Amino acid sequence: MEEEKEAVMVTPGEVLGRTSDVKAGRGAYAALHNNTVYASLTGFRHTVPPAPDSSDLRPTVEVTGHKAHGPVPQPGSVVIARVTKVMARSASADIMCVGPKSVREKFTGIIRQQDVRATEIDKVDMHLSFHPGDIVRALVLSLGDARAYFLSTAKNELGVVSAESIAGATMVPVSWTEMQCPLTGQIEQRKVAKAAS
Amino acid sequence: METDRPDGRTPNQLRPLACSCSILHRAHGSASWAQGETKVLAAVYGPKAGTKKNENPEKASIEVIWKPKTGQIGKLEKEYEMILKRTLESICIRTIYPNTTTSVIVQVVHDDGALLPCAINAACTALVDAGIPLKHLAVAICCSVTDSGCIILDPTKEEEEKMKAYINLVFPNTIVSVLPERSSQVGSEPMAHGIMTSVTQGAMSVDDYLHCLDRGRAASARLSEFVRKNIGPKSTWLGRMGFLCR
Repeated sequence: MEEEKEAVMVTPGEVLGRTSDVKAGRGAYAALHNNTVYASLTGFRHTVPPAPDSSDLRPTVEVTGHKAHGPVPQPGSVVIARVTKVMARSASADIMCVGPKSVREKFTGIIRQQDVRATEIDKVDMHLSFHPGDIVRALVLSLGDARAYFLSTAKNELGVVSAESIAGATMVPVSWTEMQCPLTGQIEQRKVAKAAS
Repeated sequence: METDRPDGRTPNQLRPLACSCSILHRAHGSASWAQGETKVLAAVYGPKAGTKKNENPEKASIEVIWKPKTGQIGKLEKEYEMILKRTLESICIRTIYPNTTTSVIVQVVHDDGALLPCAINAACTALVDAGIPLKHLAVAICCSVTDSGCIILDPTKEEEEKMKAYINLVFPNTIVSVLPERSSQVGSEPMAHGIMTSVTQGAMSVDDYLHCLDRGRAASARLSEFVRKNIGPKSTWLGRMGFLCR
């Protein structure tokens, strides 16, 4: 099945197909009461053929070319955040990016002691894992409470990606738990994210 | 039953419509909507983190702030805020981003009658401009009943004051299909005959109410057409139209 050649402009509420024929993708939603797929955004109707190895042979219908609102952190998404406050059992961070996109609004995240690393979680010292101002890559665990999202750095590729030393230079990771200042040579403790190879 | 109107319109004729989008740069979405001399500016900010105390954190919440042209916000404005909030909540897909709040700020630029429908149309257009996922669009219209029982659409302020009753109606946009057969029905179900919001001021008979619904629905079909023609994936747009609803 080829992609549609002619772009059809749609507005929210317009019928894009039946759930028996198509799947709802971005900018579309399926109404279960009448098995119909409707547009939820203004843009162009775009049909994506199913993957060759997919068991579901229905194409996905999407609405593209619309003005998107700012990204919102969701459980499972990888975010970039700046640590604002470190306490004995948790650290607070302001989420700056969700995936590759920067957020428009301020979203706050909390990294709890048990979510810093996967092993020996009871021995984690928050002050030796993060410092205020550190840039961390983290995974959104859940919506958390009304104030903040719960974040986790309990994977090799998650943790501090950029940090400044006391001297003000950007430190270089030397191990999974240490970063070194290039100016003074001083080593500081961090939960370091493994660099992408 | 015909009636003369001060501005020379027929009872079924709407005032000229004007609409423009993305007019505020700091807002995530914005729209200005004018019906004759009545003009409203709406701005959308969000989704922002967190919901208020009494809101359900498992759904996204809508916050409406009404800014009058002059002076402090009063009882009527609070009522408008509540009506607008409930109307917008019914068209937004609130399960996509739980525990977030989208703020809609409505600024009255000028009030020359049918203010609430104008505000609803502006807010809905601003939500579209902000890229907030909606189940469908909403189109609002004001119908009023004269002492002689004649129904007129889109009254001015002067006309509103003389009417025995008027009603603000909000309908879902007339749904069209982009399927090859261009069917206006899905299965055996008629597409859009619903009513989302109905706010009545004054006393009217059931027959008058039903007549208002019919007239309002006819006008909403034209409004839907206007909105659909003018909103698109463009940064700004401007449309002007005067209607005579048959």
